[in-house]
Amino acid sequence: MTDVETGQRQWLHDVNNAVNTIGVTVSVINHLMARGEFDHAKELAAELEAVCDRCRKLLRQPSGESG
Amino acid sequence: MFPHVMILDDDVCFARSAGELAKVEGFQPHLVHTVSAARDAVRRQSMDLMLLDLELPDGSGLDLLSEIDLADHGQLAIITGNPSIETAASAVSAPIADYLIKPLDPKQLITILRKASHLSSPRTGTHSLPGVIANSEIMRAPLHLVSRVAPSEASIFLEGETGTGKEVFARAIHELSGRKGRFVAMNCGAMPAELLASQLFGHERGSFTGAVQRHAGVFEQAAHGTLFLDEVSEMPSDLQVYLLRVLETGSIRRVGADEEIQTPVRVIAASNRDPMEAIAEGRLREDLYYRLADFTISLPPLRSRGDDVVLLARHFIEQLNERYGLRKHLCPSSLQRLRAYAWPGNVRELRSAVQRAYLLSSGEQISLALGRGRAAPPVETDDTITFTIGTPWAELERRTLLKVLAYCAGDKTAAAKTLGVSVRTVHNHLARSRAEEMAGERRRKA
Repeated sequence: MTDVETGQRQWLHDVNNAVNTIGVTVSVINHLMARGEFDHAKELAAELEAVCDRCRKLLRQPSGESG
Repeated sequence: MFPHVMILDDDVCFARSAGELAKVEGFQPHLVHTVSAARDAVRRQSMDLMLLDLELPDGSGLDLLSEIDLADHGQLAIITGNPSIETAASAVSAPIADYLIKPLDPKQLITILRKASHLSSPRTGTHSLPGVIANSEIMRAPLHLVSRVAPSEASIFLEGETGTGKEVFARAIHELSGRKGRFVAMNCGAMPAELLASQLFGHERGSFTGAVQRHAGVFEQAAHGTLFLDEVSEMPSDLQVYLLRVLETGSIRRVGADEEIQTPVRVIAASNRDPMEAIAEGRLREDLYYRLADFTISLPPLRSRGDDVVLLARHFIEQLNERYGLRKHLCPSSLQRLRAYAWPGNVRELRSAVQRAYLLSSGEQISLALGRGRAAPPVETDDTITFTIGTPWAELERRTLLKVLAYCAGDKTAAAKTLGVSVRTVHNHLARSRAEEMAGERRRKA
């Protein structure tokens, strides 16, 4: 596997993980809000912002460049 | 008693969010990020579910499979961002329940968790019944008893206040019994006595005025299944005699028929009266009760079931959310009201209150107004006194004085000021109260 291919694979892995975390965290937040656990939901929403930020950076970065 | 899930993923953020989801679903999560840490975790704790990532810094989640005794653990599922034919083939040859590809739909993860939670129940010693929402200590005994006796032929008598879920339990018993026939429910108290025999045992055409065609009664409808007879103590005495005969012989005779028909039915009876009291009052035949009650299961009222009230309210809201495609939830102050209210109508009243509040709330937050305009039974606090009509005046005075004294930490001057009387009056009342108590003591001893 070339360096470019390895980089692309790692980039896809990282994007997958970030999107995955976003989906699952949103689901958890919805469940917590349905239970009235707003403080906990807010904590997770803050973490969600950080993951979105990570995702944004990954998407700005060309897929062949790992880093 | 929580089921355990191990989440092996080198992405710390994903592992944490999956762990939070597992907690929401009632699991105790164990988050690990390397194969080595996973080995330690499974040695320490038997897992009900293991979610395994494949590409990890020190190997693959599949490496674990050859190293652990799978019999000690529950389900296995692969979650990977880099699926391949090789790993899928390995998963097929191993006892893997699911192979999920990132990014995954959270619903898939919830499904896996729920499946594992359901399968874990017998191993963790808890007892859940289909349709029964309960987590309180007081519900353990009835849940345990039902799960033990449901598959047997034993008769079961359910007793409990109105709305405690007797029919839900009866239905759960039927589902766990493995019986092939239908579950049929009938409320003996809701049927005019003259129609009850026909509804129970059926009738032939022309057997009485209005019997224009043959009718199969609930016994026949429930053949090879379960018949739930609610409010059985409301059944007329002569029908109770016939019911006992039907239970003894396993056959019924339709009203106006010559022949008897074999009807293998399991009867579950219920009453919201204490059966012993109903027997003493002559409402329930003793011989019938003992035929119906190889096991008597008492269902506790909702007010003694602790946080089950919150669990049930959320369950009803989830059902409504699913039906209407919304995402409504209870406001925090409603949680306190749910716990404080006495629920005289039990789960039935709760379901109705939740549905009413759900339909009336315009936003996403549901605020429960309890008692439908009826005042909740008063609860006495440190700074309130409650009396019922009929309390004698002297008793009103005595309890008021003692309560105010307690409120003022025993300070008689402060109590007198609060009550707007002199300190002498307080002393006189206390002296009189003590004298009456001592006289009462003497009377009891005599």
